[in-house]
Amino acid sequence: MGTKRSGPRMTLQTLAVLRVMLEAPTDSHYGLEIAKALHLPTGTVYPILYRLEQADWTVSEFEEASAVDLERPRRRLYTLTGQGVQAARAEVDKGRAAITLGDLGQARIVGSGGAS
Amino acid sequence: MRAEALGRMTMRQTQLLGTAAGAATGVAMVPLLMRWGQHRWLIGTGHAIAAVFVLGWTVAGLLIGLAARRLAGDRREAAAMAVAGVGAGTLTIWQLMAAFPLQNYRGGDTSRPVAVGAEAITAAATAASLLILTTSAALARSARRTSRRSKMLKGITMVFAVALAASVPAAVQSARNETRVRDSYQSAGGAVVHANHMVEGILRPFLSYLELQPVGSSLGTNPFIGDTDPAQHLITAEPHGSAPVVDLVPPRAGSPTPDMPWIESPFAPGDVYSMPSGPYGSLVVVSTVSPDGSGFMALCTGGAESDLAQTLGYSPAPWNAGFCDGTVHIFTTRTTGAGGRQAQISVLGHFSAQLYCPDPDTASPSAKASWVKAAGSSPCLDMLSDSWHHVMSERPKLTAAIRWANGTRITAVVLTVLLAIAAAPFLTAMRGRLRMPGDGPGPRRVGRPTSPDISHGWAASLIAAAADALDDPGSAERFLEEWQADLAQFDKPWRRLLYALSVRLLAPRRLRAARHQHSPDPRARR
Repeated sequence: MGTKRSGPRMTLQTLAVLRVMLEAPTDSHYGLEIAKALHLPTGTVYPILYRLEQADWTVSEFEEASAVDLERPRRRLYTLTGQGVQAARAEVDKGRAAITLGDLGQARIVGSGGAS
Repeated sequence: MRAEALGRMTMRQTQLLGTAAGAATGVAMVPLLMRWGQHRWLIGTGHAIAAVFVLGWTVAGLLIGLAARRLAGDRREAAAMAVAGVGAGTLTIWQLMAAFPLQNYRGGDTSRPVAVGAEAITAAATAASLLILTTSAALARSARRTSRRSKMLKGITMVFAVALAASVPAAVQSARNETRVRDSYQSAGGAVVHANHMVEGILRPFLSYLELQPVGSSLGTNPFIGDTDPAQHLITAEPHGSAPVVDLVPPRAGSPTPDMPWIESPFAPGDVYSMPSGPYGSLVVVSTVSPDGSGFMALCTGGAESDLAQTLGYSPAPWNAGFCDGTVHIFTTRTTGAGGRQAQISVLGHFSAQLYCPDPDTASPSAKASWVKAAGSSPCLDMLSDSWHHVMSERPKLTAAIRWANGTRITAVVLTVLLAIAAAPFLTAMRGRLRMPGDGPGPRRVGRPTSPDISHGWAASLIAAAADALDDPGSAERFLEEWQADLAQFDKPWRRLLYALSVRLLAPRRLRAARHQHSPDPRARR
């Protein structure tokens, strides 16, 4: 289903998040996990995940098990949608072509602005 | 249930707490004032002033309690507001006491110690107030509620925190101004000192006009004001130019017989003698001469009367000389007080015991040359006129400086109390969050129990504030739970705080921007 929304603003940090999620496209991730993997501030990661969700590239939900069963608070898990996987791969490939490793934080990639 | 009961009790006790604290503060002020060397100030009207303090603070405490009930949304905030308000008022009292230092009227120049103490108190009170307000300002950022009242309180606190910070240099400057006023008064000055050589009855209205308060006379009608032990006030005197002095001092034991020869008095009323040297210019203005001319009454600068008496052949030691009808009154004025606002008229020596009498053995008429007699048909009056004009010309400057100094202090005091009162709700909010971050209308507590670690409460407050800052209750609750879940993974306090700070500082703005960019229809599924 095509989305009426424009794609998320593509920044280096967003690309990095997508890259992490694409390592296991069907797995669910939570915000802190991604932030730790990327060594990014959590205050940056959550808005990125929110934007991805708004663009229908990801869906999020709380863990189904209760906090009592988990013995910890329920985490919010983010999973790439099918559409999101395709779009993410396209953006990541585009990003790899446009930038080199180590330029993270120095440039901002202007995304296509829409789902491919 | 228990929380409700606690809340009801706290609310009912809020006014009582504030009122009781206010009354206690007022009562505590009285001995403090007395201990601060203001004995004379408290005599007479002092008791009334003390009563005003107690009543004033009682009323203030009541008002603070009422305000707490009105403004505070949380019961504990109401109680803390009352206490903090009274605390702020106490600090204000200290600043008031420092702003208007009450002088030690008991002679001597006590302005320096009083001024230093006053400034120290002002600085301490201002620093304490600033500490309260900066803490509240920081807490205001983490306040949880998004109601209009909460936002208003937060805004007020932030504004007043800045105002208090600005008042600190104002208080410092006012202290400098007081020094400047004092210095300018002294330099303004030489003529003012000269003016004070005049009959005090003439000078008194001028001093009042300058907002300078001469020391009250213990004798009431004695124009030659002395601030010594009332027991020394054995003499009354007539104003300048009137009838000769009526000497009420009894002869001392060992005084010579009345048939002792007297030298002719060189003095006449209105004579002015000056000498270049001396602490204040050694000025002597003769006001009255005894009926037989053997003694004189003079208004002199410090020490000059002894010099004059000696050089003119008068013995300064009454028991070494004969008894005479005249006495010498000596007074001088000083600028005292931290603001130079008061002229202290004190007496050098025991004027009632200093009798200047002719001593035939030590008479030295040639020594009179060291004293210059002022020219003019009425030198004393000329001097009066010149000094008066000088004083009047300086008056606007001195008055303006004094008022500016007082004004800055008053401003600092008012700002301090407003800021401290505004900080009260947030002090309680901090306390509540530290102990039970999930209590009250705050975030839901899930999972493991609250850690006793103080950082947990701070972190919880920060992420709660971040959720509040989203300005969207729907997404706020979702993100709050999400962030709480991630927060629970941290074991180290500093990591916990770092996480919370990152969320608080970065997430809200970006999430709001993202929400505005896309359709505001969260797809979150629980």
